[in-house]
Amino acid sequence: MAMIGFVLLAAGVIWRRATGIQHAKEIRALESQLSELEAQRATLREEIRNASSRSVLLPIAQNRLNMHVAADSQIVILQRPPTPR
Amino acid sequence: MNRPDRITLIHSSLIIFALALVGRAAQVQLWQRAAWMAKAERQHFTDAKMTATRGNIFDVSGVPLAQTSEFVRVSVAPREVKDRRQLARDLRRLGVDAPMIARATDTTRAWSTIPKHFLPNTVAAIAKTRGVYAEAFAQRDYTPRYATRRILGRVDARGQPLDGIELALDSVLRGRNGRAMMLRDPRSARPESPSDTAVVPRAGEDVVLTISQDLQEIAERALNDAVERGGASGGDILIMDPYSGEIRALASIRRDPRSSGSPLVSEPFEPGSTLKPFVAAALLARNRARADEVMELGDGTWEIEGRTVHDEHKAPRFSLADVIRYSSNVGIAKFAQRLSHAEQYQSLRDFGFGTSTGISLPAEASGLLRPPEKWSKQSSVSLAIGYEISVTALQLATAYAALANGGELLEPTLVKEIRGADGVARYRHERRVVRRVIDARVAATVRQMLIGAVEGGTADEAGLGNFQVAGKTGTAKRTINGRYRDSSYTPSFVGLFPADRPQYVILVKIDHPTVGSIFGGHTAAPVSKVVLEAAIAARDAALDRRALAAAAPPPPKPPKSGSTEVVKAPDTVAPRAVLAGGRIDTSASEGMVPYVASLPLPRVASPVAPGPPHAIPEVRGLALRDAVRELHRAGFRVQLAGFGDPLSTSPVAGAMAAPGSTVRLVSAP
Repeated sequence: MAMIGFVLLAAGVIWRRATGIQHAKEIRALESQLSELEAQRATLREEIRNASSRSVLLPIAQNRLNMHVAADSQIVILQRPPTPR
Repeated sequence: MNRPDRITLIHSSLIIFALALVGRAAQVQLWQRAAWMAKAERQHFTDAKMTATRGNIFDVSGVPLAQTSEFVRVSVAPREVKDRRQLARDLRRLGVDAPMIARATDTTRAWSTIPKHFLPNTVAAIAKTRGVYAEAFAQRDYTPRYATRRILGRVDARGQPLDGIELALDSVLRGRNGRAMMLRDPRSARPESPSDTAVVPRAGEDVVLTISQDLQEIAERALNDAVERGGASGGDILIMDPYSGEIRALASIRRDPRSSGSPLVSEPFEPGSTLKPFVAAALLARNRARADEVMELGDGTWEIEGRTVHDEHKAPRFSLADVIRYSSNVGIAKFAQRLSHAEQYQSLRDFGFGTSTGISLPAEASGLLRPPEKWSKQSSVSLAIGYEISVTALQLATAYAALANGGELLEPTLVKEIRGADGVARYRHERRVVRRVIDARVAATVRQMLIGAVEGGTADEAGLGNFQVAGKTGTAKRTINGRYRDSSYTPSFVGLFPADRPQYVILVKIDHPTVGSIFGGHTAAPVSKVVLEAAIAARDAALDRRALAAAAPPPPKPPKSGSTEVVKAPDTVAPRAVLAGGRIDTSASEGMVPYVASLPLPRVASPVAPGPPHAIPEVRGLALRDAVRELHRAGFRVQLAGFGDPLSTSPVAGAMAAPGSTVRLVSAP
């Protein structure tokens, strides 16, 4: 009886450790996947930022679309009358 | 006595053996427990260092400027690869060039590392191929902007900071490494121990800079164009908020490839005429001169202590305001004689020259301002015109910020906020006043003089059409091997924009231009104009458009240089949008929205240039946008009252008004 109890207890301990190790592996894999995805997101964001930066857009706007940076005298800051509170 | 029989002997042996076993077990489990546990731990577990992720660096609006990402390096053991053709195809798909693919599949080589880094998911499939080894590593990614990278600095392959913000704020950015217990298994895998007693790594803190990436890009592009156009050896642009001390842009370009770091804080230079306003401020603060006080200048040359001082703009007499407007060397040198050496030294010292500012950048220079006991007989004159003193661009901009904000010398900063990994702010910059240098009345008078320099003075080319700019040019001879040379100059311009409650102090410096003009008014001042125009047109350039809308437009330009007319500067100039303490008078801008419309107007210098009055067009019945456009096309400024369909204008349609005057457009609410 004692032997059976011992075997069951030992099996329980081993099962618990094996499950723990398996979970640790899964957590590690997920963490690795998360950092991979974050790296990918950062890279894509950087590419978007570069593609929409002035150094890229300005030559395109000037050469292809024949646009120019507005002089300050061509910019009007519209003023809205105060709204009643 | 009976001899023990065989059975008894066997039983006794077994009992002794069992006792020995129990004894040994007790020895191992009880007395030697710790030693055996340690040995088992060494066999089953291994210690792993967990490197903390370095903190990110952001600009003022949250754009990442430096961040750490995980990448993968791929190596190939060609002899272990079974299908080399497939591997070559896979590598080609990853964008590896042909010579590298040939090396990676060359069986005469034992090992070949692809000199490229990949995103982990892109190499996940190829990493499973036999003979291909993928190694993850953290890489610091920086914004591709050259000038911004000079500020940020960099870290080496081991993650050690080398210069810039990375070095100055390393203790904040690097975090704390952790330690983990990993299990060893027969296949050399290293799963994490479930009964781990790891020290969790603490990620580095994020740093939010005061830099505006948009403005930085504008400055960098304008500077690059100016350096190219002028055949200069380099240049700098610094933009600062004069009320908070926050630096909005720091751009430096050097043709010398050995140059590194931030020359704006590490390379002092002789400022030349950009120092004159501080002499004027010292005179006004001590009541030794008035802005409208006239000084006789003779023929534009003055000999003193064996030295001859010349003027570029020669006139028989100038007021102090005109001395600044036309950058008269003779005038400022004569006025400076009213100050004692100690007073002249003390006033420059009070403006922060000769001491470092304490900015969070390594290798900040303190410049050079020698104490009066080390002066020669010519030093007073030299200092008045910006020689015998060296300043950093940051010191000069900070001193102009004091003129802009009403007389307070502020501590400049590049760091707006430091946030923990949990997003909670650990530090937030607060405006820090070093000292009050001059009172607000003196600062306002000097600002008025600087407006004069832009409107018809030496800084004429820095002027904008719709906004008033104040500023001062400088053109200083450079020294080569310890001697001043006529062939090498440092043209510069420091401006305040807008002149009324400035939001920017902008400093432009060009080093040793070799093509075109060498004067600051023709070389540096136009760069300031380009930067300001682009900043006004940009979506996010750290500008308060509400306050900008309330800023006064420039008056018609006075006669050009050469005039000897005395321009009277008022004793007290109170910008209408500024209240005591530097607060904005919001009543003037109540209800204004930061809305910018870029209108398809023809390329004209200024639609508000004075011209003959003409009739205000009828806009009733038009859509609001069309009505505004129609009024602008006619040359009027528009003030909106309501946002519905236009009902009327004030003055009414058909009334005659001068171009540039404001027409109130009344619309349905």
